[in-house]
Amino acid sequence: MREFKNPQNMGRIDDADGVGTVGNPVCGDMLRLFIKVKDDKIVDIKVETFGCVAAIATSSMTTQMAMGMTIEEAKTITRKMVADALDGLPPHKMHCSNLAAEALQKAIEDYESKTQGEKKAEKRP
Amino acid sequence: MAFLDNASSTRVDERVIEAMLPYFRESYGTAGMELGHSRDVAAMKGLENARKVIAESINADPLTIVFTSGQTESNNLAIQGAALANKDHGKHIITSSIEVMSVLQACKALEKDGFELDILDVDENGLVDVGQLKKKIRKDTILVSIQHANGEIGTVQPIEEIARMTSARGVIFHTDATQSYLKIPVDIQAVPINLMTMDAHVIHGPKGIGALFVRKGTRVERIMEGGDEERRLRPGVQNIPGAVGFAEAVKIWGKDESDNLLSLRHYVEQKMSTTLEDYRVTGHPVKRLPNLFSMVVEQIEGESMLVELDMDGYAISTGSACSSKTLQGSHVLKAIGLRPEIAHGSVRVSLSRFNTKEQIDGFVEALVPIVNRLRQFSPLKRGEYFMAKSEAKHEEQESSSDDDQSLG
Repeated sequence: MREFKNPQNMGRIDDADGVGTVGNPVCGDMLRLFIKVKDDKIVDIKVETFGCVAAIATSSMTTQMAMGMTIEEAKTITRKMVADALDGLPPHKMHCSNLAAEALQKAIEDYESKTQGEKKAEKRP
Repeated sequence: MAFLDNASSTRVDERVIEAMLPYFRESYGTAGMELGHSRDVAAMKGLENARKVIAESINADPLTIVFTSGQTESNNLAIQGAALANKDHGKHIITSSIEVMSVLQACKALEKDGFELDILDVDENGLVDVGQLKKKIRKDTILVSIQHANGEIGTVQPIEEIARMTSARGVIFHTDATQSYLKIPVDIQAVPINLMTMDAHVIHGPKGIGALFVRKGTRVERIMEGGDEERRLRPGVQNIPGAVGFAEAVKIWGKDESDNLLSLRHYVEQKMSTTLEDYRVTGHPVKRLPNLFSMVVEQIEGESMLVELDMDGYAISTGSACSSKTLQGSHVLKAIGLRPEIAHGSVRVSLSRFNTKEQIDGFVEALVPIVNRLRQFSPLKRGEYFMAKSEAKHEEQESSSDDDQSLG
């Protein structure tokens, strides 16, 4: 509830290095997550969320967890980690936490595909 | 705390509680026999007086009122009971896409049992097209069930016209009048409705008590086995305190109550139009319940609004998928053609005698900053309704009627 009332890192980054959009308006949630990367570290992260209380809270929590992590570390963030950090979510709201984690992974993929030419791609199999 | 969710349920009036108490403490007998002991006699008197009051409220004979446990049971008894009693005359049933679940599911259950079902579309205001209904009626049509007023968007259907048309064709007409009962008076002598659902808990009566009007001569079979209570249509010991409370709620419903509710609704509408941007009123602009205002607010999601408003002390409701456990959005908002992401921003304000202009002022003052805050971090921008590719595919499968893209 605290994360919902005072969500962190909400908004957009205009010159983001990676952007991940996920969601489905049919079920209710849509997220667009922006990352700024320097020396392989996430130095700035912002998210726009159209969704319920759980979606907003998990957006906020995901961005706080990923901030400052290396790309490799950020790849390990799962929806369970996000939900646990929020002291759990009702079962029918678990997919909400999935969205924020998924948006982060997509933003990382987007970043890596953009930087592919510069260094060897570190794509997951 | 301002309770602006009176279409869901209402606060029980103190006078109703007072009227019910003797039927828990003293007259707690059953109403089984004409000549029972004194406690039974007192209980039966209470029940029959209540029946009379409900009957008078729609200008009907007390013998035509069957007490039930409420809207869901009345709808099931009407639909399943009429279908079973008339199955020798035909197997075709017609209803609309914006009925409550107890009507839609009762019809679908019959469909599984071999009945044929037609579900009528509604227009963007939620109105059923009587011409279309007329065309759908076949020789073997036995039942038409169309609600009087919708509980989510408030649209009032032309039930007089429908009743005359079905009556002329010998088809049974059931209407669920739960939301409109007393607010929009119905004279059963003037309108040839066969079956009508009523419920106490949305008119400041208790929960768990309702009624079904069954016109004399309309064949209905009971759907639950047991004793001879309620003209054998609804076996089981009656909820006598409930029936007494129901009747008390009817008695104290004021003559000018609907007008008062309507002027308060107009106040909400006027207040909204001067303070909130980018929203659209849902339901018919004129043919609407006097106490119901519903809208969709662009770019934001209803559950978030609901939770924030609750923290500020205002209770409203939303048809957003996020607020339902099944994550299905409102079937009513879908039926009037709203795009799913627009339907997500739905807010319903439903009024009662306990609401004041001051509460409305406070509510709108609380709503505007919440909307502004949620819009700040919404990925949906005004007029932008993008979807990621995979979602667009999903969307195609989920829904086929997204014609309404024009939002004001």
